[in-house]
Amino acid sequence: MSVFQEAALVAGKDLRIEARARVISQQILPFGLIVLLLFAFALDPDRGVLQRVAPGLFWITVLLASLLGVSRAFSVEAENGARDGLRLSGLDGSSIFLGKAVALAVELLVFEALLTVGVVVLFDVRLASLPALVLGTIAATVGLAAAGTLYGVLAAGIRARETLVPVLLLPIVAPVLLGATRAWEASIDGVPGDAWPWVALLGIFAVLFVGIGMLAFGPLLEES
Amino acid sequence: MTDAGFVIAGWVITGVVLLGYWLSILWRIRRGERSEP
Amino acid sequence: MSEPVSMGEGLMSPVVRRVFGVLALFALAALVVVGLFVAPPDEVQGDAQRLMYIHVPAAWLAYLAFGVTAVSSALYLWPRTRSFVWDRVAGASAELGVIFTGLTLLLGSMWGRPVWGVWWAWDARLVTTAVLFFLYLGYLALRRVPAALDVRAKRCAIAAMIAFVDVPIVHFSVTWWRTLHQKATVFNPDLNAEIHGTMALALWIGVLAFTLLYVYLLDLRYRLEVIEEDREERELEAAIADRVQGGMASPETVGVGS
Repeated sequence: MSVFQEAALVAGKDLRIEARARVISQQILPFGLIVLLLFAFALDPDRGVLQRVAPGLFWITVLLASLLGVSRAFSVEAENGARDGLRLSGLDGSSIFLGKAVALAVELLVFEALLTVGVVVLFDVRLASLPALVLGTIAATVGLAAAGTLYGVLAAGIRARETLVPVLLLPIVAPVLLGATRAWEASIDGVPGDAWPWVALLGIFAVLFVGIGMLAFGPLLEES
Repeated sequence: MTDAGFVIAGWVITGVVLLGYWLSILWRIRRGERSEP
Repeated sequence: MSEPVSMGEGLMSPVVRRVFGVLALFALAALVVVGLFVAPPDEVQGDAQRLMYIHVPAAWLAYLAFGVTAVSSALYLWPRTRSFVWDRVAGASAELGVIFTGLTLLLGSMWGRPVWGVWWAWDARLVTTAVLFFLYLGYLALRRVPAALDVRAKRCAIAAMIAFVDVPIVHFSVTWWRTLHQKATVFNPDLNAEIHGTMALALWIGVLAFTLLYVYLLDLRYRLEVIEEDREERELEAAIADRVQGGMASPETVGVGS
């Protein structure tokens, strides 16, 4: 089987588990919406402020949700020796990585789509130029999912996993937060053309971390 | 605080941190030595 | 304070290490003299300039230390050069790197208050340094997770390489971000583009002193790492031996677990 076929197998498995458990829709999405609400409590709901910082708030919320998503992606392997099963399956490490990262990216994209509705409604954001925004969001999400999957497997066997992954992952994905927020700002309020360089940065980050993930996932899985 | 105050504070803290770190390594080495059979 | 007689095996002989230590001491003394007394106050910054004589060397050392961590992590991962020596160097150097980065941030802050009027500014270099600090703090947290030596070494080496790859991205994106919004006047980092005479001398002495100190501390920290690895191994063997003995002493537990 080719890498992509194997990856599709793994992605399919993860997404099927998610479809059945519905953790995204029932837990992570409400979490995201509550966080948006809390931002309004914390910041002055004087429309001006929230509207201006909405892209940043959106992406911080996505970042926090991705921590939950990563935790979830690897907790499904923790029970019943599923991780051993994965190791013994004969699947290539890079395929497993691609599969899990794609599944996580899909879950995050669904989350983001729904969260965007929340942002538009709660913070009165007008989405203007779409192409850069959509492409930037996809690139950012792929990068996030790749980095998250990588650190998820790195910490997979560790008991303090839930507190360790945030400390490791968040500084790494700081450029994603930066780029995605700037791309959104340019697409909403500024010159849409300004967004493209940031989209390019997000694309580079995504490609880089998918590459690193494909290399490192297998060796890390062996040790977990 | 005057400029001189910041300067002295900065140099003193640096000295304390480096000295403290050095001593902590020595102390931990001593402790490791003691538990040797 | 006299050092313990026997120590873990190190990167260099104890004599060489002590030479570095003594040289570092002299260089640091020279730094204090030149930096605090001989060098004149700056025209624009006044005496606050003197903090640069330790802030800049600290920053240089931080980058050196993390570079060493990255290189030794790569050497560990490369099968032909794999050796726990590199893992220990990576860990020891990272710890030193975090300390020097912390000092860089602190001293930058103490310099910024009198010169810029603020403890912190969202200037590209400050932000990049802050992210660097947290990247390697995370690495240290990872090192503290108990695990078999080779498992920990591989895991940490990969984490170090990922962090190292991320640094240029962070640097580039943050620099680009801040130059788009830069208010050049107040927060101009190159407040003192040209440094002359004794001021330059003070900086160079600072870099030399800190580098010598780094080499000395690296070897010392390396030896500590060797000792602690030995100790953990012995504790593990002792625990296993206890277990075995305990199992034999009580017949009821024979055949149960162990």
